[in-house]
Order: sequence, then C-alpha cells, then structure tokens
Amino acid sequence: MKKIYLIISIIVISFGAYSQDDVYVNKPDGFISFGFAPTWGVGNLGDFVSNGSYRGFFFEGKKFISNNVAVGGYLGWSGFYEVKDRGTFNFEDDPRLKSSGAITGNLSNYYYNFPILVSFSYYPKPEFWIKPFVALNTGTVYNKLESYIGTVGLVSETWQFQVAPELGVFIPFGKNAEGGIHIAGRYNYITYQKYRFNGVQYMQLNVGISWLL
Amino acid sequence: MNRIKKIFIASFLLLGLTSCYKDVSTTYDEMDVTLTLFDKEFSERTDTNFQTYRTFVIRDSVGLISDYIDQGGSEWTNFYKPNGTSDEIRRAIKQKFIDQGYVQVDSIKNADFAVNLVVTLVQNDVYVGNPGYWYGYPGYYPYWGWGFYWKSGELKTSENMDYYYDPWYGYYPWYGYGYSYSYEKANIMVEMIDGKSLVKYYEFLEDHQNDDNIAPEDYPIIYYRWQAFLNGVLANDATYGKDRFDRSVEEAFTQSPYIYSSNN
Repeated sequence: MKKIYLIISIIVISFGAYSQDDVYVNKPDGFISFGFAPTWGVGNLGDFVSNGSYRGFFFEGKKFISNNVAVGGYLGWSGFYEVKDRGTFNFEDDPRLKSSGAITGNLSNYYYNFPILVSFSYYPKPEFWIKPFVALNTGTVYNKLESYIGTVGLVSETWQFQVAPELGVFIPFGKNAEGGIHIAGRYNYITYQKYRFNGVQYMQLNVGISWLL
Repeated sequence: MNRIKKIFIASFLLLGLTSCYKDVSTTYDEMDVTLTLFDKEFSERTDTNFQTYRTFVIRDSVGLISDYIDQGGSEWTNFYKPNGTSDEIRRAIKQKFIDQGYVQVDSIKNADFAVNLVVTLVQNDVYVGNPGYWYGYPGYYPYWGWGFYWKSGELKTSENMDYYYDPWYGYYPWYGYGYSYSYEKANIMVEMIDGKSLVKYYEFLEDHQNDDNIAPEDYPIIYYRWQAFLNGVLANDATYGKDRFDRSVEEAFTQSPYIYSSNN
C-alpha cells in the first residue's frame, strides 16, 4: 500500500507544479513509453498469491486526437507466483458426493496475464512541461491461472475483458527534453469468474521511460 | 524513427528479462502428495463405522503394478526380497492400523476390514475413475489367505467413493467434486475394504466358478471405506526413501482422524 501512496503523492505534487512554474513547451503529438510494472494482487488474487510481483513490463503508445485527449494502445505482462508451506487441505463437503477426504502437500499458485488494451487519456494541460494525466484503459487480456499441489493441479487459460483506470505523469529529463520519466498507478479489474474468483483485481505501478512524439 | 526503433529493441530486451518465470525451485519431497478419501455415509453410521471395526487382515506382500518393471527382473526381485520395499511398506502400514487400536487377524473371514496395498509405477498419466480401477491388473488383487478364484470381466464396487476427474469444479483441484490422480510417478495405494462385502464377493466367485454368463449387476458389491494415495514417495526403480515414506504414512493417518477403533 505504501507504493500506492507514493505514486499518488508524486502525481499530486506534479499537478501542484502547475501553479509554481510557468514553463510551457510545444504540445507533443503523442508519447511512447515502456518500463517495469510491479503489481500486487488485491481481493481474491491477493489471497491466491499474497506476495507482490516484480515481474511485469508494459509498452504503450498514445496520440493526441484533440487538444486534451490522447488515444493509444497498451501491451503488458504480469506474473504472480507463490509457493506456500506444506499443509493439509480438507475437501469441502459436497452433498452430491458420497466421499470426502483430505490432501497434504506443497501448494504453489501462479497467475500470469497479457493485456492488450486501448487507452483513453486526458491531459489537462498537454503543453505544460510536466504532463499529468488520467486515463481509462480497456480491452482484452490473456489470463492464465495455475494451481498445483505437488505435481497435481489445474491450469485455466482464458481471454477476458479488462478495465484499468489510471493516474500518471510524464516528467521530462529537462524542461525542453523529449524524453522523460513515466510514472503511473493503475487499478486493474479482469472479468474472471471461475473457482473462487469473483474478478481478478490488482494494483500496478508503471515506472518507465517516455518519449514525446 | 531511429529513436522508436531503439525503444522497441529496449522493450524487447526488457521482455526477455522479465518473461523468465516459473523458476520456483522445488526438491523432490516437496512434490510428494498424500491424498485420502473416505466413505462419508459409512463414517456417519452408528451401527458400523470406522470406530466399530475391530479386526483387520492385511495382504502378505505389496502388489506391484508397472508398465516397465518386469516380473522377475532385478528391480522386481529387489522389491520383494526379505526386508525389501514390499516388506517395509507392509510393516509400516500394518503398525499404523495396530496403533489406531485395530487387531490383526489371519483370515478375511474373521476380519472387519481388509487392507490392500498396491504400488503403481506407471510411465503414462492415468486418471483414476473409481475404486478398483486397477482390478484385473496383475498385482492388484490380494490373497488374504483366501482361496481366490479369478474371474475376468466385471468388478462391481460400491459407488460410495465416487470421485471423478473434474478439476474445473473447485477453486483447487482437490476441493469439491473431483480429483485427478496422475500415476506418472510412483504411488503407494492403501485401501481399506469392508471385510463382509469382500467375503460375499469371494463366496460368489466360488459358487460361480463354472458360470461364464454372470450379469454385471449380479456381482456382490465390494465396499471401499477408505483409500490413501502416497504419491511420489518411491523412486522409479521401486526403492524407497524411509524419511519420505514415513512422512507420507504419518500424513495419511493424521489427516484421517476418524480411523481408530473404540472396541479394543
């Protein structure tokens, strides 16, 4: 959670920079950005894999279609895994069954995804040197879940729908630089409704490099 | 455009760095799984249940089912040699039942339940459909000091151990409706079978020795009360590691706290 506060603080400070400095540059045509995307699951995914993941990357491009609105494409990849301590799991009682039982072993859970999204971004002042934005990303996502006890387990691969609101900022290396740092925080929701998942949810921090087009 | 090219190259390098996943290191014993199943209806009965069972008979050696270990070969001989894997497994399981208050007897006719012991070492993945799956394979059927008359064909088992391969039902594959069981690795299967039903079955076979036209539904039902699968504990050549085996046996009985006799 600390990471979320950190991102929000950076973004809020950058919005605050408007009033402190009047550095304006030419409005760019768009952006190309890529970088690391650490993630951490919340809700069901947080139970499934309790530790955060530092395995993730993103790549995105955006182009302004009006004064403040940019449209683009986004590709990402995230991987979560956790190997839990050896434990015994009693079968849930199922009235349809005449047998019940238990299993002992080492449980390992994996979750990977590969989103292919369209982004709609709003830049309040695209000609300002620091460029904060809010965005909504939506599209399809390849969703893979694996759970094993010992060597026995399940694999579930599906394509799902994903939606991800985002708050971010472009901070140039210098006031007139074409390259800069891209920092954004996202909340991701994936419409996965299997097993005990009632949607996959995770928070994401995108940290990378951005180029103005 | 050169710049964009560079960005692309950089991002693919990045992809290469981050996409090597699933490097979780595991040792063999972490892959061992202990599964137990029991007859729910039986465990809840008051007239006869796990606690009212008193006596048991255990087969004199462990059945070995394998698609690559030849009968009479060196691995086979090793498995069955005095104090070899077969003896060790039998001794450990027998002792566990004795520790739980059951009394060993010599004949199935006096036993409340029979303990079947089978090791499977099969290279291909197989999914178990129901108890008695291996019935008919050499090594599955035990003798228990009974004049056994083998009839090829049907085996009727109770449907009270109905677990099917349907890993998509639960959140975890071993929850709820089903369980897939892979025989890719070595497995020790321990079966606790109702003695009376087994005697009836044997008597039926004895009475119908010369009858070749028995309808499947005419066979008496064999009731399986409990099954334990100790998965992975043997090496591929059917030798066993004592620590892993002991841990699995301990787990099987610990996760089945209903298995004890209150009659002794």
